[in-house]
Amino acid sequence: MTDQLLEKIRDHAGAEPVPEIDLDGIIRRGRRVRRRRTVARRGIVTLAVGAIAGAVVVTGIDHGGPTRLDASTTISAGDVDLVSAAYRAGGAFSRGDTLWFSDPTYSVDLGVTVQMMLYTSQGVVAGVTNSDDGTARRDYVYVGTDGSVRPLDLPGKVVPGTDAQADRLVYLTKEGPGWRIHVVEASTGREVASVTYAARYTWAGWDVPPIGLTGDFVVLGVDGDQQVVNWRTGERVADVPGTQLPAVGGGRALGGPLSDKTYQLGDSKKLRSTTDLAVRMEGSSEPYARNSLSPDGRFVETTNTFVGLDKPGGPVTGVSDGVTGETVADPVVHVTDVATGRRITLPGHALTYGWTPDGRLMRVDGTKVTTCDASTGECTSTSVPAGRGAIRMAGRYLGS
Amino acid sequence: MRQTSEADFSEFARSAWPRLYRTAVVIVGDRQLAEDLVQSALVKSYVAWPRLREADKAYAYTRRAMVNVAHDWFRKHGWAKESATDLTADYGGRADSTDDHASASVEHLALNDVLRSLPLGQRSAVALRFLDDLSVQETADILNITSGTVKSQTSAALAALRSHAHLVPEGSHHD
Repeated sequence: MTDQLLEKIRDHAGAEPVPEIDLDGIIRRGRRVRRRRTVARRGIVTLAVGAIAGAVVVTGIDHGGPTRLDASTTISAGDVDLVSAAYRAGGAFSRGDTLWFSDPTYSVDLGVTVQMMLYTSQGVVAGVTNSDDGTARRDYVYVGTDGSVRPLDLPGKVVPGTDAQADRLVYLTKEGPGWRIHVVEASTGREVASVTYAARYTWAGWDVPPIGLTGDFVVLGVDGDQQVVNWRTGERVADVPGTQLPAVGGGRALGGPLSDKTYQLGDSKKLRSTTDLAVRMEGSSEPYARNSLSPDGRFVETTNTFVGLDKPGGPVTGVSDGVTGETVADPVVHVTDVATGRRITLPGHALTYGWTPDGRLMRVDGTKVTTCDASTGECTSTSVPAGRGAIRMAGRYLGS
Repeated sequence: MRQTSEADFSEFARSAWPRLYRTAVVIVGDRQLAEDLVQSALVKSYVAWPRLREADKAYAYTRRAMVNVAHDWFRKHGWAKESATDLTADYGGRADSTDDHASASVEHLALNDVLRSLPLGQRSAVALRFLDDLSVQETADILNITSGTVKSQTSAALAALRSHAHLVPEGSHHD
């Protein structure tokens, strides 16, 4: 009976008279979209040349010329609301010079290689380079969920912090014995606040310390504990324990020796701990776990297995148990709800998952991009067209 | 876009149009809307054409774009906008009206009415699974739902269609 019904459905559809295609109209509309993007591109390139030529290069690096942009997008004005919503749940990913917001039909071609992407509320801050192999100098551009691309005037070798819940980014420039904290509206490049700050900083190799941004707070990865500053007032508030790359989101930050405690920023009240998931390798006195905070601050992903790589940044050769060192056939990651303490596990290791802006876990397997609900573990997948090179996820602090 | 590339796109669009249109009609239940949505999807494919190249990839891309645009349209306009289209016009004016033709016309209208009465999610699942012959997982990818939801949407749709007895010939057995 089902076969007969399906045959009826197919016959029904096949009997539907088909109107003539308006091919000229389609091509005309397509050319108009391309022309609009070309005008925008010329404007952007002009802006890029002017902005970078005029920037104060505080790190003393010879830039050797601006990154040229040649952007186009499949996102039309009517898509914007849908793309914004899809992006928050589905994140962003890239391959080569193409960036996608959640779905393969929502693409932006930047004309330059995307090295990394950081989340803001309505788009990503992308680190890009002219170099085909993704090395060499890095510029930053803002790519909006409306398909717009705008160069960001960020000097030298800085890695900005971004707020996944706001249209803002932050970066530091050297000033006197310390730094100037610049908070910028990501979509427009307009600086909204600027305060000076100083602290001891020797531990990391960058010219300025790493910085995180969430709500009214910036978190500076300086020597000793992480220092927290209200960027609107310049006031220092309670430190977050631990020296590390800031991991912030939703007004919270990770801290502690293993970054295994989640703190409320402002008063640094401890909200949740995943210390019980840390393991001690046989013969070692040091516990081990790796923790990652979701961009909205609601979940912590913890892994306590070791990942073997054949070289830095190379393919995974195996996963080993954090206690015995033996190979683990089916490693898992643990995901803790900060508010309730509830946990789930998902298959994977320390390099498997990233996050979407709204706190879903995200993974890439070949051309398949999967996002998973951090409360239920339920996952959905989408397929990206095949192409040369690996797919990168957004939200990784130093690039995936 | 270079001339040969535009010629390639034109050939693709002409060949893909009938199938895309028919799938769109089942999904949105309105001919004019289906025509507009498929054209919008093809505009997106035109813009993305330098990256699409192969016909299979281009068709999958365009179908996904069409489904996205269709669902977006209903989100913006609300489910109440699923208004009836007078589909009797094409059939009422025909000069010959043999019993077979009349019966086939009634059946076409009846199945059409039942399909249009289904929720958007069920219509989409039916169209992608049985007109485009996509797997459960492929359908789930396009609709951005779980495979379990695809299965339940499909079952619900088929159950609703089966419940209309005049769509099923006499003497049929339930499976």
